[in-house]
Amino acid sequence: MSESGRSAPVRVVIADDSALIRRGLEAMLGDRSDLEFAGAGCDGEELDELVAGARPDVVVTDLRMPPSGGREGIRIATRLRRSHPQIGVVVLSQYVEPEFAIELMSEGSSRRAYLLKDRVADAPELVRAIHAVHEGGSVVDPAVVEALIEAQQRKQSSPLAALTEREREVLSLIAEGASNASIAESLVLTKRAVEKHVNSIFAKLGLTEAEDVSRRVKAALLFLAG
Amino acid sequence: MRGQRDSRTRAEGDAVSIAGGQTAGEEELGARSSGRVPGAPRGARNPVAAAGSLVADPGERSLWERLPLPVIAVLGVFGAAIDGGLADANPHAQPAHFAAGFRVAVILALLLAGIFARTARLHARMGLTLLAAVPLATLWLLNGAMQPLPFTVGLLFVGLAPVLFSYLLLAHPSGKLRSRAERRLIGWVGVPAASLWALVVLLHGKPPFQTPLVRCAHDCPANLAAVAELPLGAAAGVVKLAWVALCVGTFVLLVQRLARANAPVRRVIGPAVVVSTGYAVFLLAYLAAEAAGWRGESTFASAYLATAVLTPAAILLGLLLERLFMGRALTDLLARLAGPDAADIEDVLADTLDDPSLTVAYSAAAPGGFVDADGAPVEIPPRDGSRSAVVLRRDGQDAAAVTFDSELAEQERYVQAAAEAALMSMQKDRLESDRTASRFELAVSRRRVQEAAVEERRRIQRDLHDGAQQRLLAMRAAVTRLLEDPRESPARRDALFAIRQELAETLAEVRSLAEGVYPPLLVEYGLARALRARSRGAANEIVITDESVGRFPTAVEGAVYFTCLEALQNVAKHAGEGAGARVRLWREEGSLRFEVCDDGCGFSPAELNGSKGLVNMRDRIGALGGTLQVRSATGGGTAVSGTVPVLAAAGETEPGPAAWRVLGDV
Repeated sequence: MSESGRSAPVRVVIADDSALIRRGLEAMLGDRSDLEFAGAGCDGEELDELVAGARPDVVVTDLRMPPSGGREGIRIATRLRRSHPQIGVVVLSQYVEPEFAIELMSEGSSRRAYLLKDRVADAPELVRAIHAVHEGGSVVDPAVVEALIEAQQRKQSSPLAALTEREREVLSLIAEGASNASIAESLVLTKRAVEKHVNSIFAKLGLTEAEDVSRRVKAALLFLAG
Repeated sequence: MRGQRDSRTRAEGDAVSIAGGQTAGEEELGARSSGRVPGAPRGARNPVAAAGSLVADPGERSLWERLPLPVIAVLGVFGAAIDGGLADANPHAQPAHFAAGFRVAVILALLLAGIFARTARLHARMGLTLLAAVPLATLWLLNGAMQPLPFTVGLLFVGLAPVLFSYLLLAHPSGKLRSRAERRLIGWVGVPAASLWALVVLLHGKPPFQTPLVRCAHDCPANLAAVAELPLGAAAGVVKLAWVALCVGTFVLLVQRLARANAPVRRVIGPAVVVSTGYAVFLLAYLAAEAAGWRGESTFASAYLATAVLTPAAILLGLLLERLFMGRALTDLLARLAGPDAADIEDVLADTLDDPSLTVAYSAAAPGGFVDADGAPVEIPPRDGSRSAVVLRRDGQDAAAVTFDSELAEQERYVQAAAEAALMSMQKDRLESDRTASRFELAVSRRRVQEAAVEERRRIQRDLHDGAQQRLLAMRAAVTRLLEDPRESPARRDALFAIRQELAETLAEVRSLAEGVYPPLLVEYGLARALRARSRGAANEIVITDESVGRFPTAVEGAVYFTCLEALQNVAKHAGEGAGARVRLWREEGSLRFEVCDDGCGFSPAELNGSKGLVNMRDRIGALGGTLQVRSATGGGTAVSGTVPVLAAAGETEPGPAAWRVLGDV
């Protein structure tokens, strides 16, 4: 991300019906040289205009918004997948619900992130997600992955039981959208060791290994949601 | 013959079947009497046909039964006219000065009483018996003719007359002989006496003795039937004795019956008893006077003959009284049954029928079985005992049985009618009480739902007040303090970190509170996906099949969701380790149906009583007009299933499940 920061900043538009959140996000973007605030709207329709006018690289949108009042953020993401496949979408949600993350990624998980709204206050996490989707990756909030893993562990017979503690950590990071490199970084492992773990996990869980990070996010999510 | 037939003979096609201790005997009588009481209605032989006379079943009826009443009336009047005309033309016909009138009166009285009885279902059987007596009486009363042929016919039938009247008196009001003694009196005394009389007429050529109607000895018209001229004086004595026995026997049997009978029965047979008294007394007096050569002979003869006219009249009066009483008693019964303080049906029936031993039994689950009000099995009495029974049927099935003292068998039809009315009222009562109960239950359930909603609001208010609100207030105070002293310091940093931590916790708290109130997944994706997501964290293996039920109004989805959740929580808590659960959602005939079943340890129904969880579930579903069933058996798992009516328009399907499936293929 820091490398991309050297090049042109990522143009970001914001969609949220809460002025407070919009202002917070705008302030956060203004602080950074690698990101550029390209506009803000308070509902799906305004966002559509912004997408057409401001030509953003990434859209950061609230999950619940007018006009539908439901999961508008996911609808926007789905719409953009068709109209502007190159635009990354970060959906900010109040809910630690894997279902929403899964639906967000149902038509492809690349360039999509599902983050809890708490992250508005947690700049690095959000910035990382914006860059990740801009670069074609996908991100799932660690809290969501954690909830999935916890649910799996409550099961009397979870396939996760076959994994070692370290492998479970790696799986969590995979589901969160981390690349092997970033997994290696966060777990203080060699990249090779991470690759070995990933191979072992996918073999144990019977998943076909996807080279593409964003695709393996989906696979891991679906597996955990099983 | 006894014991071969089922103790309960069912009137096919009718809602009523009859079982009576004495009913069975009629077959025996029928078989015997057929040869001795010529012309007796064939239906009398067959109890099924007899019962069938209560029903429209032309296939079972004899010609006599099928003959229209106007035709019978015309034939009867014609017979009366012939007998009357022949007697009128004969100056020696007896009784003097009234020969024609008497004959016409006897025949018309029988005819009228018969027609009257025949028109009412209740007395149809008696009507048949009376009408059957009309042609026999017509033949007998030809004895007033001076022409040899009709006189001979009449003479042959003279012996039958006392038997006929005894039979009518004893058969009243049911139309058939009920007791063994009655059948023996007619069969062993009456019929042989009549036969012996005819035999004497055939072999002796002259009447055995003078009767009130045949008082000629030497000046009689020629007896065309005489085949011999034998001295048969002793036979005449036997016939006389038999007549006396018949009259006195009939009187004794009737008095016996009167003594045993309750008030209503007494009223019905009372007139017949009076007539039979006169019949016996005047016959004895006449025979005595004749034997002793007393002067009063013809007076006794007239009195005796008057009883012949009075017999149908007495029967008619009895039937009228019975109808009157039954109508009144039934009205009274119905009024009592319909009354606000309707007592126990058994009590009301026992009271109305004047039989304290009367019991009402209800059809049990097992075919042919009956139980009392407390559920104890009840034997339907065998047909020859001291108890009789009426079985009431509804929709082709036994519904109830009323057992009563066989003395009441006399009033079997009345018991039947009363019991029918009682059963009807009972069914109405049951419906009423069902409705009242369900109305009451609904009201209680509604109140519980409301109370639960209020309680839920209170809980949310409490949680918000004690949790988020307190935390926010504390944080505002902390922020205010921080603003008062804007200098950077490690303490200020710590305080800010603390506030951030507090905010995160508050957020989590509010989130979980909001999620508990109405889960966002349910709003967004509907039942199946919300349940599936929720069951993900469950310890038990849970499989959810939804057959793409689609979406429903929020209230419906909420109720079904929380009900299923409650059931799943019960599985987790009670079904035991390793128990799997299956949730099924489907649509059926305008309803959303759901079922949560597990293969766990189950429970006995007793454990279920008063379960708060179950009441909750019932209330939730009941509030939407749905129903909930819980089935379980110890060791056999548990199934909670329910139905909620939904309007067809309410369920629009939504693309959510399809997206899920696409994703699922990855």
